[in-house]
Amino acid sequence: MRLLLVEDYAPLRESLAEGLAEAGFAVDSAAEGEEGLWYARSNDYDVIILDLMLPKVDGLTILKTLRQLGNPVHVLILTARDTLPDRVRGLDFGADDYLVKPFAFEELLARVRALIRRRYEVKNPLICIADLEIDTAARRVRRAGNTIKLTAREYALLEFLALRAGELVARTDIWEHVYDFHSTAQSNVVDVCIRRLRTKLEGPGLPPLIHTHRGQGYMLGGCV
Amino acid sequence: MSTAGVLSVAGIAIYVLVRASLWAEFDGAMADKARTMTAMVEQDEDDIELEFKEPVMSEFDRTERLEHYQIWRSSDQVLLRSPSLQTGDLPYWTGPLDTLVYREAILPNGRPGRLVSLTYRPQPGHEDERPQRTAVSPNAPITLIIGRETTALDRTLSRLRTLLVTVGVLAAALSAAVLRWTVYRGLSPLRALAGQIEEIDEQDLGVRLDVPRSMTELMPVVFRLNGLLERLDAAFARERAFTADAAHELRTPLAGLLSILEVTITRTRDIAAYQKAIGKCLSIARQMRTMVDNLLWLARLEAAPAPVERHAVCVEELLLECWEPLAVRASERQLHVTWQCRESTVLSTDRDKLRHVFVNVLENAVTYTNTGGQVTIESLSQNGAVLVRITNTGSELSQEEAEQAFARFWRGDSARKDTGQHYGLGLSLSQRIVALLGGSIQAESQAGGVFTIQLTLPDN
Repeated sequence: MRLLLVEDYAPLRESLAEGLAEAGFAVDSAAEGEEGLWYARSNDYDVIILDLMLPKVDGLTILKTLRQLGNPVHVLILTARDTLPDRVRGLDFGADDYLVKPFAFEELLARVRALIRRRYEVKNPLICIADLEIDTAARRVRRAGNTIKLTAREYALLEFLALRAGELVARTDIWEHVYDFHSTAQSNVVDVCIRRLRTKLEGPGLPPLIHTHRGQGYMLGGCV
Repeated sequence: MSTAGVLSVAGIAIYVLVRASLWAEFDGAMADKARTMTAMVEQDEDDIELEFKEPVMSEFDRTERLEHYQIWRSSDQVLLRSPSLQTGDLPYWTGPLDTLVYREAILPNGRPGRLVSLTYRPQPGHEDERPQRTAVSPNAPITLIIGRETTALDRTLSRLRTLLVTVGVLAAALSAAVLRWTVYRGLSPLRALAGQIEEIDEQDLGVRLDVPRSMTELMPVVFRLNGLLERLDAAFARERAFTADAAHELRTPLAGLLSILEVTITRTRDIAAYQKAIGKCLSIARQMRTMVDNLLWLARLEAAPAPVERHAVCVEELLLECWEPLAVRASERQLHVTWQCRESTVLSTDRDKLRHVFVNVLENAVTYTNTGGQVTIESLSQNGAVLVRITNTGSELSQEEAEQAFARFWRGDSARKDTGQHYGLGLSLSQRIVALLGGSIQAESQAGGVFTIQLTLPDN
């Protein structure tokens, strides 16, 4: 899942970016409003984590601009302003969630996950496809009762496919949602990752789960 | 009270006037009667005759509003007395000849009365009847005393008194009631105003008091109160903004601190990663300490004027002392630092407070100078004051922004890149402290990004 983090306080931005990346998200970060707006308009993010007091363009202006452009991205406001009018204003400007600084990193992760479920219209954090179980909260994957260990990237890829299970997911979609802005754009990066994931999921004797639609993309579960 | 006073004075005046005029009329009537009677009394030889028939002057013979007369030759010789007197006597006295003399006395019938005495020479009989006697000797003077009961007059006056007192008391009571009602009615806008004031609390200082335009007497008060509300509202708004800013400035680094620690602890890392995290946390904690210090200083200065403890302080030594911990950062940022200071300028001032100002100002210079830029620290004497000037390059502030730099939590937009690194409190606090020390502080932005902070410190 791809996130944009707009925060001007460097220590917070850097540590959050690191923590979110470690949690399996593809994270782009911006230190000021103008850059943040540019990122938000050029990519399809799953969630934008937005500080309000920013240099150049403030958070609420970014939010308003995005909504005026019809951008449906889920926005989580992260701010030190905690008065009721501030929170109401933030939500009324089109934010989806509001978290007041200081916050627990775990809570931020949970809220981001919730926003992602909302985006893909999945209520249950436990996604089951045939005998595959994906616990999106604990980030645990089991097939036929056996736990499967995945890297952060592999997990992200699987979760993205799982959230859109039964749908054909284009390779560029995967590229946009699983890799951040600074990833090296290699045409076969997605294919390589899919292959590794398949090896881990589809052991001997188990039916295939990820189906390839040549030239179009991939599909998890469902009929071929 | 005053109404009652006015009423009593008016009542007394009316009473006195009416009484005087009634008495004058009464006396006038008696005088007329006396004069009339003198004309009617004739002397014949030694005999005195009254030339009228009793029924003509019936007032001397009735029982009500009785009048009496008595004529004396001398105190022991009564010539005539009215039938009304029967055998009684009126009191006898004489005044000067042909002069009316009044007196009050109890009449023989026991009732109070007023008497008039007139001593005169009676007319002789008709000339054609007794011409010779007139010529012989002038008549000896006789005294006529007329008495008249005053009961009726007294009763009239007493009625007048009662009437005046009753009317006065009623009028006073009525006017008091009317006054109370008028005052109550007149004060109703004031009560409405009090009600409006009572409803105001710190949450809605934005409201303004309102009274009808017709209450012109209240307008100046309402105007002033609204002015006060406006100032209070502004002060509260400033305080709220300050609290919100302070919250923001404290929460952001705290969020950074927590985030670094929480992310670091999610997994086992190598020592270098831990060291890096600890280093970052330490730097944030130090910044927060500065911020909290500044906040406390500001709060203390605002709560009560802090006492100034004056000692001999060498300005240049103090500047060097404050610079020392900043020197590392300055060299990291490759700043060129120039000192243009006098040997030693000793001021009598508060060392701790001045140090706080120097640290703030020097820290700003180190933070906001462009990398590889120039910082100049100067001190000079001018008109008995010491000027300390700290100039740095790389400023993006306009002169207008430079003047705003002393507002609490103000930061130039470019400075916002360093949320948490620099707090818009330093200059505001420095300004207050310098003012407390009797000096002043100015900020100036010149072309080419040269920013100067100038401190003027008086030598007390």
